Amino acid sequence: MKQIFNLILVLLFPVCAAFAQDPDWYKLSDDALNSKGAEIIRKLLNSTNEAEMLVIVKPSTNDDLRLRIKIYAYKRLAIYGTKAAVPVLVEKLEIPKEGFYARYALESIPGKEVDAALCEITGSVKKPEVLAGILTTLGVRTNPESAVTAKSFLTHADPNVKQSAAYAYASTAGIAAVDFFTQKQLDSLFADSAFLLAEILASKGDMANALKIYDTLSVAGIKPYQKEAALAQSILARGEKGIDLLVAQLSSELPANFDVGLKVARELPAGVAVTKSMLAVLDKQTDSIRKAKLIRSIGDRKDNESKKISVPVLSEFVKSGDETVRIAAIESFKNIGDSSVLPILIDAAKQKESAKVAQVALWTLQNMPGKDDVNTAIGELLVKGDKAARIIAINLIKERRITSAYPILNKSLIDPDAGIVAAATDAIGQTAGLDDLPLILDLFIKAQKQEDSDKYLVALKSACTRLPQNAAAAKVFDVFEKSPVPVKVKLLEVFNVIGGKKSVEIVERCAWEDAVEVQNKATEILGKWVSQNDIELIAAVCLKLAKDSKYKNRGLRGYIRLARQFSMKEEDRLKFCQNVYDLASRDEERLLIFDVYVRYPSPKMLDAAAKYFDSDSEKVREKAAETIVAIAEKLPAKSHKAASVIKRIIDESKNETLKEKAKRIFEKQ
Amino acid sequence: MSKKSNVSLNRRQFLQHTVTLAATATVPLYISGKVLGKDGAVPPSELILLGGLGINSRGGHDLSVFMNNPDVRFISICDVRKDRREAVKRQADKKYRNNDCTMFRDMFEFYEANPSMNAVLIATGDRWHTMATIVAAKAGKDVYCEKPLSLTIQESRAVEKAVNRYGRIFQAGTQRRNIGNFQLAAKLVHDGKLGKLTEVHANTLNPYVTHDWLPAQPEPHRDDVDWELWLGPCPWRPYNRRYITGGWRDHYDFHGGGILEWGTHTVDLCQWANQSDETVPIEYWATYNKNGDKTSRVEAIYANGVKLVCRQDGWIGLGTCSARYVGEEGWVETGDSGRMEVSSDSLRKELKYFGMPGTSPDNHIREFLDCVKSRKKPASNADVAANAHIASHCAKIVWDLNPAKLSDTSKFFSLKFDPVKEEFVGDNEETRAANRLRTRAMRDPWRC
Repeated sequence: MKQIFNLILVLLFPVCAAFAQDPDWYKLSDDALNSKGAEIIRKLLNSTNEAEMLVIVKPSTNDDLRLRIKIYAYKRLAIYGTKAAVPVLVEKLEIPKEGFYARYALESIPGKEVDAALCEITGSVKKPEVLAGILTTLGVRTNPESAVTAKSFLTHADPNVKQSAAYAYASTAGIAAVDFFTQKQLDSLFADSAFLLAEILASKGDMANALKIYDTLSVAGIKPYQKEAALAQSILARGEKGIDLLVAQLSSELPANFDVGLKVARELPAGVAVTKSMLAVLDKQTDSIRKAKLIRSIGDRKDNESKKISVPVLSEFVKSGDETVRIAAIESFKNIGDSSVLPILIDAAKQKESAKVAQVALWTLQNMPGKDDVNTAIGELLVKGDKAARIIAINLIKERRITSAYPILNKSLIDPDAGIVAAATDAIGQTAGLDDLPLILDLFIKAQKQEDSDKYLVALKSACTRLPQNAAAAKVFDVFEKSPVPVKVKLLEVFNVIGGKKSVEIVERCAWEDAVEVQNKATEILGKWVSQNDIELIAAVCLKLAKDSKYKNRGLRGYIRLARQFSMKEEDRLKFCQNVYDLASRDEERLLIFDVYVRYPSPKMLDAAAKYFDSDSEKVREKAAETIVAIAEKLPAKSHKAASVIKRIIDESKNETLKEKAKRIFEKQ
Repeated sequence: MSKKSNVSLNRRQFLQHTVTLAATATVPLYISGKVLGKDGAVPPSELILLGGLGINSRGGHDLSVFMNNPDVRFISICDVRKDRREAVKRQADKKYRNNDCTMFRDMFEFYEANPSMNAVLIATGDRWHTMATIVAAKAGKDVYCEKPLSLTIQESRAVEKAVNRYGRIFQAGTQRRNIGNFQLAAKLVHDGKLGKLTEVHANTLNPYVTHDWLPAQPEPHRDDVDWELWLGPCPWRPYNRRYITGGWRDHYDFHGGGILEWGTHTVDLCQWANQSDETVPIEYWATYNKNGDKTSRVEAIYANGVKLVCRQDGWIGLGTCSARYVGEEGWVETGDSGRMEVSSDSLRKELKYFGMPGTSPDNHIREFLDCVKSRKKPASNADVAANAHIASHCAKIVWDLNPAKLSDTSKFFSLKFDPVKEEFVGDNEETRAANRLRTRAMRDPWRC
């Protein structure tokens, strides 16, 4: 084999020469290698030629400096290596530090030559950890011809080797391994591989042998959680035939077995038989927490076929009894409820015995399936119900977006009952139309308490989030312009929520208004504007502020934020940065442009940053240097031409960490 | 196609939004007030004993949320870094006013010493997520694991297989499935408000990662930082402190790059919106700008004709991890600001105001805890998480294999993928290379 390999190398060397990887590269002095290493690596990264990689891998020298270069070749061999690389790589397997890289490459190389070579070397490998690794690789590769080798190490003294052998055996042997993995005294070290074999067999349709393994594992002398896992798989593999086993778990006193039952029950296919058996277990269960868990499991099965038998039973649990059980039963209706359970849920939402039951009932009502029948019943509740029922109905109208009931809901805002008003206020933001805005604005302005004012403001923002932009802005502005300064300051936030041309115009006007508080808030909001659609308008306003106002710095910061956070063409982003730099009178604002360059790394951003490396300001120079290095680190070496400025950073920067980074980039250039 | 997901506010969120119960919002939903003792004590059978692996900044936040639930007791921490073990112990002991939290460097010892532990929070670096989850599942523990779960397609599926093999409850830390604005956006799609869905857009980052090593530094004492265990299943390289303090990101051996970093959230959201939780797109391609430079944008197509776009730029500005769904009759976009934008006034009617930023894991963690007790699969279970990860890995692979620059930008290649066989389809150099990138060998003794 070695002769064949040497012949291959002889044949390959001319090719290597053509690609100019020097076979004597490793003989270079450390200094020479420090400067030429980058070139070797660059060639490797741009090559798919196996011969070039082998030239780098072949030498036995592997100090850190050379190994750092060799790893590139190993990693390229993992992608492009062929059987020609196998002899070279196999010879390296036992070398400390380097050996794993050889296995790393071998594991991916296709062809039975790899498996044959790995099997062969297992007979002579000395180090158990290397042997374990090789067996793992044989397992990953799944070649059935490796099964004999894998089997021969199942009794090895080293536990890691044994485990790897079991993994390889399960991965490669197929049905032939069933006897081994179904032995009564199975070592728990082998359990995971037994599961693997069962899964492999099941995926090929051999359920009988898969079950044989699961059944063995579920009673074997292995770790308890391994047995429980096997039991779960055993039930799932049996399907409906596993119901007795399921019932046994759900009835078990042992928490772990009960948990197995809960999980498996959710995963078994829909079917009346499963639900029936679960209801039977539920009937006998006395512990409230266990009852609740069983009920949730029944609900989570979303088994429409079984609703006829499950819903009546669960409905009874809703009405009275332990709170935990009631909550679980209520929640189960989110999955299997319909209009028939509506009265029960509404009663549960109305009762005052348990606030938690009431809230969960409300949540379930909001989320349960069914549209027309459920919604109609809810609308009627708002008109005909008592106070508690009306509050429930208001919440449901909001959450289920029952538009036909909105007009009645709006009237509730001025209901004499404070509880109804509070619920309606909470809802109105989600339901209000344009015509309702004046009403909310009025309530906001007239609110006596801070908490009421805050609630109406949230409702206003919530409504404006949904309404047409310019029309909503106009409605709010009608009230805004007549309002006192403190109200104006608060309402300005609403225009940012609305967005659009009209809102920008209003906020811009406020930035120049007489009242300082209004100016202050307006200029603050311009720096937090959220709508990308308004970018041109906001940019113009910020620029105007930056050129001609006492809010110059705020304008600049708002302007550069647009370049930092918003979508725009690269040339526009560069222009924004340039504008800020030219207009700024302080370094604090000038430095902000570098955050933009770093956030959108590209050769042009790098060039732009490089311009400032000669700035008069030391702070700017330092930031520029950091930026250049940060961008260059993120870009492929050949995509930019920053070598000269990076060389200057190496020579001139006082920041040692930065210089170190710059050196590494320079090497790659 | 999968069943429709539940996109209404979950019960937890509902109760939090209900003024009358605001004060009890942290009470576990699974247990009634009557079952809880008068002092709020949880009966032993309903107490979840939690352990943690690799908890640092993000994990620390998760841990605070976990510990704010009265039915959780954090009992043990495992970390290869001594300073982190001790910091987490301090956090737990301060919370419980005792000195009980135990510390471990080795996860096998951690499990051996804590047989009664029910669940673990895994918040290590990405390189460990797959193996730590598999080891936890094999030890019979339920798992809440931060994203991304995997570094390869094969690892993604291995997580799912291990979780299902051992019947464990698993929740990926993709909490946006339990956050209102993202739920509503998906609901608009599912309810047909956008018309027939045509495109789903996922906010991702630059996919680039490096194979390079940082300069070697002397290895610390094993008890301070166990470098071998820190590396775990990944290839050996010399120690450098920067790796262990967050600098592992952008290194190929430890990190999946920008598509995985955010795509595990946002591609997951797109999968959900497209009701394709049980599958992945069937063809992927990289994109180039007019200068012939490869961009960070990757596109793909599902079997139902919906296009998936993974892109870094062009977002409205609604916060990190944005997603956009486009139908024949309109679009919706949302992000971590909680705000939503839609294409028309008619769609605006459907919106709700979400005042809270969209990144809190509170509801997501609570759902996990409830599921630990009920044994129901949570929203971000291993099955759906695996597919979102596989879609992201496919996108990354096609990006990796396409050249950085093309003189003729029409010459980029696409890769077809068979979601059932989980292999790239075709017999050419690119496809063969892509198939070999579906997996990576792990250092012994690790395997998945």
